Amino acid sequence: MNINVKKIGETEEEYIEIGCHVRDGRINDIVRFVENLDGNISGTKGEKKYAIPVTEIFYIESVDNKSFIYSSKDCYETTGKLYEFEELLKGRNFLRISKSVVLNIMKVESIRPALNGRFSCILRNGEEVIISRKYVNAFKEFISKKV
Amino acid sequence: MKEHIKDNLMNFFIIVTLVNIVIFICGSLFAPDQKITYSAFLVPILDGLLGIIPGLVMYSKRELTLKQMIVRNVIQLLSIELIILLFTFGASGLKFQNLTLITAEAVSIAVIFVLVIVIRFFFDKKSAKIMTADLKAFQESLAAKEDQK
Repeated sequence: MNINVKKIGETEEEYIEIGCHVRDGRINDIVRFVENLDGNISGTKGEKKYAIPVTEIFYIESVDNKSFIYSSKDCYETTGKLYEFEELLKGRNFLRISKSVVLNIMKVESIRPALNGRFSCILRNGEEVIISRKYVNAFKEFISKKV
Repeated sequence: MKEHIKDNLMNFFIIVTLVNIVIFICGSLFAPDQKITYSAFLVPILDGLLGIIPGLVMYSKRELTLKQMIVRNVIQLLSIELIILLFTFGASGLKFQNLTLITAEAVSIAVIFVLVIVIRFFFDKKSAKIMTADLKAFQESLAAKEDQK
């Protein structure tokens, strides 16, 4: 695959163009990567495709090998894998809190204990997500390092 | 697995402390003149060890639902009751004549089991409070940085 980078004038809007024979998984991965770098993650709701700003995402959940992005009120399906999002959003205050959830810690209102050594995060929209026992220490460490 | 062992170690120390308290209270109430030997100091430690065995054995990598957790706790309590009662009275000692003693011990075990859960909950509550405070401080510092930009 040839990569061409062309300098354009200050007045023009920056763009990325991909020339391909077929839009396959590989091309979709590149598109998703670029969108993520731009601060958006693509997701679908119904038939419509949306670019969801990372700052609006509350958490990403994986259910039955499908990933879902949750914002304040909406839920979008996305093609990416949870571990990919975990890696991509590491520097943006997202943290893995259980086997199936990556959480935006900026959307957490408070934390309270749940049963059996687990903790429950109350989000700004009133939703609750569980930090499983395995991830509690990593969560504590992450927050204490940030302060 | 590491967290599981840590959890059980913490439970062990809580159980040892609580068994000591139970021995002190029950002893003072029901047998204040009873003389005890040095070997009596081993009882809380042995009870602590026996009390964590079901928890150690019933390790599950899976995240349990609330319902599964309750069922698991009930099974765990029944196992602990059986192990400690057998340890204290022996298989031959579990007779109708000893019913009062057996009942008293079984109730003590159940009370300690519940207290361990309650004490752990209060520890977790304290941790949650610290985590929330740290999180708030971080969110505010980040918001201040954003404002400066």
